[in-house]
Amino acid sequence: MSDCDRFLDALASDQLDDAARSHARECQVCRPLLPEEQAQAAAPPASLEAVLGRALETLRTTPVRPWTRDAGRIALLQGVVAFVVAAMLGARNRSSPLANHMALAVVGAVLLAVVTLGSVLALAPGRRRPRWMLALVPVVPLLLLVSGNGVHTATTMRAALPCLVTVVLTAVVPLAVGLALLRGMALDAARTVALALSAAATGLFALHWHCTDGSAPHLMGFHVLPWLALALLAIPLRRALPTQNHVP
Amino acid sequence: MLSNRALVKPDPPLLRTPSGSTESDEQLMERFVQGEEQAFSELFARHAGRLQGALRRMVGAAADDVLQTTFLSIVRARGRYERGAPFRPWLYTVAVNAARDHLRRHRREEPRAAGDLPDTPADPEPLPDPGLSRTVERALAQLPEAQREAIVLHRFEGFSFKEIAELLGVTETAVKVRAHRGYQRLRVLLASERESA
Repeated sequence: MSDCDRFLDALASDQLDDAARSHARECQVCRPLLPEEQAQAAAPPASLEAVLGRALETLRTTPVRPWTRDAGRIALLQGVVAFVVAAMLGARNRSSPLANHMALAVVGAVLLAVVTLGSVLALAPGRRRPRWMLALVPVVPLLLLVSGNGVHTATTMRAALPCLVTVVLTAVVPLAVGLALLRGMALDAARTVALALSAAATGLFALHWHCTDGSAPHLMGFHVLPWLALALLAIPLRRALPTQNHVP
Repeated sequence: MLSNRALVKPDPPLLRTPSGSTESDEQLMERFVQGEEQAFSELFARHAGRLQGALRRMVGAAADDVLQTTFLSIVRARGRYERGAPFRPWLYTVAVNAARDHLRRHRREEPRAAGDLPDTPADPEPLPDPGLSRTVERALAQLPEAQREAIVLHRFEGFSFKEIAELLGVTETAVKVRAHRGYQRLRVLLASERESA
């Protein structure tokens, strides 16, 4: 290992000792990397004054907007969409003699929490909380399987397809509003997926009470798959939209 | 052993507010969130010059635009600041996001080249060797974006690898790998710069 390599290792591991430092002082290649060789680049006052002036002007005209306000609004919107669609479709599954009412109620409550609290978590500042939502990817399918009655009734594609269409169509408005809100914060794939999982769960909630096919292939293929596909589709959609704000 | 942080020079006294406030950044941030202009001006005076230098190393001549975008983002979305959170890493997270967005948008239009760097060093203070500074900036401009970010934040801004990992939303190991590869590549680039000179 050459002295240059030793110096670079020391620099990269925050362990710049005297030997590495004295090599760098003598070496034309390493010398520019010595911390003391670089003076901090300062700014010309004129350009900073302009930046400060514009920022202050914006501050005077922009009232503080707590993130919880937007999160609350989208949670409300998604909750309303989920209940309206559920009411429109009817609760056939709940009145089915094969239904496990306790499991249906518990999973229904979890889905409602995903729809409402999930969107709040997805919009929370920072990077950590939206990532918690990604735990839903294995949890929700498992819960749906547990609460399913195991009976395969939608045996043809024609009978099964309306479930897939319901998940997609129900998610359109919440997802569009969510993507518009996401433009107001830094591009973050995990946050985008988290919000899309919450938005697309509106359709899952409605189908949970309506669909009488509780078989695993139907639940996975026509409920869970479109839910996950919408979450993944949200990433390129979000990337295609211009970002208005870079705060995480 | 002298830590990276200890070697970080303080900002030059540009735009210092007359208050000479001794409040912490986080205390100032709380006042700024409520709309207090003076608190914002103080934060700006403390960090803008230094941040501009970091952005110049990340995006070259577009540093002023990205700096403007960064501070406008902070003003408009100050409601997303979490009370008590360390201000400087938060500010740099916003700046890195803005720099990435800028590079993403301009990548297709024209690839970034060393020529994007400002023609004259912006630092009014005498440099130990201005030629060296230019050489390093040119070499930095040729690094891949992720490696450049890691080196600018670690080497020039004095953040620890752990802080950089938090700031970029990646693991500490990933940051160390990026920085190590970046330093290796930087050495090769500096050697070739020297040979061509």
